[in-house]
Amino acid sequence: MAKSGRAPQPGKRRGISVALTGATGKLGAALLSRLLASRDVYSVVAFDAKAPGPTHPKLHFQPVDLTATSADRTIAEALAEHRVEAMAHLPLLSGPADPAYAHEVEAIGSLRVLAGLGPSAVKRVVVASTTSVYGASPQNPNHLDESRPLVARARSRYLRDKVEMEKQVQAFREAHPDRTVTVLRFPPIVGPGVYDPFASFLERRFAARISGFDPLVQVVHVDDALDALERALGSAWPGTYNVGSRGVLPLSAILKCAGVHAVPLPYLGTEGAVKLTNAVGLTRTPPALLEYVRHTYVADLRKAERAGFAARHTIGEALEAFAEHRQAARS
Amino acid sequence: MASRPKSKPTAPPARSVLGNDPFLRGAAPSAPAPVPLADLAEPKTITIARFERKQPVTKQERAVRPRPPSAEKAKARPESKSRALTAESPARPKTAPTRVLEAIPKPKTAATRAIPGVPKPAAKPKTAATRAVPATPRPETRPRSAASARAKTLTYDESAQGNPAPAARALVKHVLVPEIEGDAPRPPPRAEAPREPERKPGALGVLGALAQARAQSLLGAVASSPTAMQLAGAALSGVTAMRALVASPTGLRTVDDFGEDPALVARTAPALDFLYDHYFRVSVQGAENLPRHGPLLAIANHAGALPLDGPVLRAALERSRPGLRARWLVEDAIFHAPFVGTWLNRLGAVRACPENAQRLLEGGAGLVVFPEGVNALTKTYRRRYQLQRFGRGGFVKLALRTGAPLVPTAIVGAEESMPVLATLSAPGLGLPVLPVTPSLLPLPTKWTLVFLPPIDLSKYGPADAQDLALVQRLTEEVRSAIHQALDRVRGERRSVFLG
Repeated sequence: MAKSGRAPQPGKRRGISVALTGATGKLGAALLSRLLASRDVYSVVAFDAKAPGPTHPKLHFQPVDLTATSADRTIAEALAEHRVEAMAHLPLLSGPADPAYAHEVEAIGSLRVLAGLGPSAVKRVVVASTTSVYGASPQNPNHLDESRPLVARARSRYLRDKVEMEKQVQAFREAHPDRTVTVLRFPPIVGPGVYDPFASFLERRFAARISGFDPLVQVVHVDDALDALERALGSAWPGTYNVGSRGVLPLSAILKCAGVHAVPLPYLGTEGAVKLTNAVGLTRTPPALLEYVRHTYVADLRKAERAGFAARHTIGEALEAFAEHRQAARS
Repeated sequence: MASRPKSKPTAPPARSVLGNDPFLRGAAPSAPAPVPLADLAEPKTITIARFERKQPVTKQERAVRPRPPSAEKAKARPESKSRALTAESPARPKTAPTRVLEAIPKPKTAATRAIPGVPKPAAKPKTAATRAVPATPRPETRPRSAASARAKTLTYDESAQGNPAPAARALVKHVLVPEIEGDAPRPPPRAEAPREPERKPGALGVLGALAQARAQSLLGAVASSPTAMQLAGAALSGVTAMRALVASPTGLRTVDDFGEDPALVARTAPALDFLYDHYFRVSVQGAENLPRHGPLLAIANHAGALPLDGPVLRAALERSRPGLRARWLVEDAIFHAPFVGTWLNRLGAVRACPENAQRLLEGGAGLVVFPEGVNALTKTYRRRYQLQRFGRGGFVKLALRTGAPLVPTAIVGAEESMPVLATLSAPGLGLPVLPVTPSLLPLPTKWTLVFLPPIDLSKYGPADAQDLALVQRLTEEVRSAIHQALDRVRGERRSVFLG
């Protein structure tokens, strides 16, 4: 990976032109700074509701509101104008948001992004998803491969949106066999900052744990996630892949490493209690999340490995990086 | 049906759960397993030999104690030596070239076992040594009538309902008297004493010794019966071992892909070794039947309220074939039970499902499967050793798909160690029924593991996993092989507790 952030020389087009959505999200911001630093990237088009922080000669910000009906046209025009070859769609929210808004952005917004991609000349489409679409269930084997059915009746709206988004991507893939579509399913992303409701556990001082259960948890170091995204943007890598860092750890060990005080709750009755505190407004924990701290959902990483993608980090390194970052942030 | 090429594409893994069938609970055919009292004459002198060393022996006793034939001791020596050598390393002796004979003592007793004057034989090939033990005709040391009389006094129901230690002590009084009669005098134990300092006692050994010392002072009245002392010491150090086992797993640890925590396994290894060597006194037959290379599936019978047969059979596999890493599959009712399931998972248990099993076998692991599943755990004591239905034959499909050999394995002794007297329905606990067991700790029964010759699957290929009739037939073949071995070993043993 090249480190220099030289401005493209006018008239000469070196590298590819890429686009991404969700550039202000934490994963999006990290990917954006990597793409801007890369020698192989000629220009980056960032779609988002608000402008990403840094300005850069390679960066073209295209304001777009995914909840608006005209979003697909805006996207299609921008893709054509910048002759974008590869696009990354990162419908990952940084934290719990209003469920109705999240649904508009993730499920409906993704539909609009795909609609905008339809008529464009984009060759490679990369979509970030999560391994939570497999669902945490007592019936899970220790390793869930990509052929596993996605949770059909997820009780959480967050998960239903993810599954719906994946189904849309699958439909797009079938409708456009000439495009290379890559879906990357990430476990909770850990690194400098965290990205999904499960990983936001690690940012708290106290977190609930179901007493008597200690599921194995898989995470991905943010660098490994970025490696996979970059690879899929830069070269044809069709298919759906689980991408995670090597190894698993029990939830209790992860919480301990992250400096979170685990509060064990009895497994009978906790769901009712959570629903109650949600209704009162004390907490905003989706009850379905309880399944994810009770049962194991670890993805099988062998398909990506067979395709030549090897994670650089272990789960221990990812947690160490997170702990350092958190310590720096607190002090 | 004849030979199909093995290179056929592997069928997609079935989603059914191995050996955990809630629909056939109680519907299994129960073949009556009679207890033949036929061959009761063979004395297990090695057990006595182990007991006598621990305690000072009165002259009177010395004169009448039986003594194992020196040939048998000589055979046991290479084994005991290898154990003494590996005892230095604190970690679990996974790769130690140990081979399990009858009633292997801990290094402590192993070192003292060597009797001066008996020349050490050159190290024999292990398989030969092991095979020879059951085959060697042993001299009759005691009148047959005494033996059968003892067998009658040793029915389980009379003695083992209450606290295990007193029950066992009461047993011992019954048992040892006839055995002591009319045998050759043994050499004075003084000659063995200087060997004691040679080996380092582990923490558990020290505790065991302390426990024995305490027991000695408390039980002066029965001090003349070393077996009782042994059992009292065993009970006390067993409690210590159990305390180490249930200590909560805390701290940042690494676990492997299936959740096994090597640090916890290493920490609990002394407790498991204690259970294996001294508490259950596991003896292994047919270790030479284990394939020398590659993965294997050990299919075994299963019973008892506390699933200890998994870790013990895993240990037996790893001891019998050095270098093999083995895991055992656990049915959902146990695996997802709060606390117990997590704890077993950290110790190496894996949830029973075809995907997990296939991945482990592809990694070259040995896999312990209890196809009776949860039905076996709720089997009452009255129906012990009556094999329940063997799941849906998932393990046969696995073997056909992966080419891993199927090793039928019979476990005798485990089904009495944690007897289930009755079952209660317990809605909401996740278990089909709640077993009622009289003892908090497993009873110190003598365990015998028999590895039978692998089922020949060379005629079949991965595609045959689809052939349901074949799968059923092979399942039944494994089941009947285990049943026969169970009947044979139960017929040969004279006592549930002494073997």
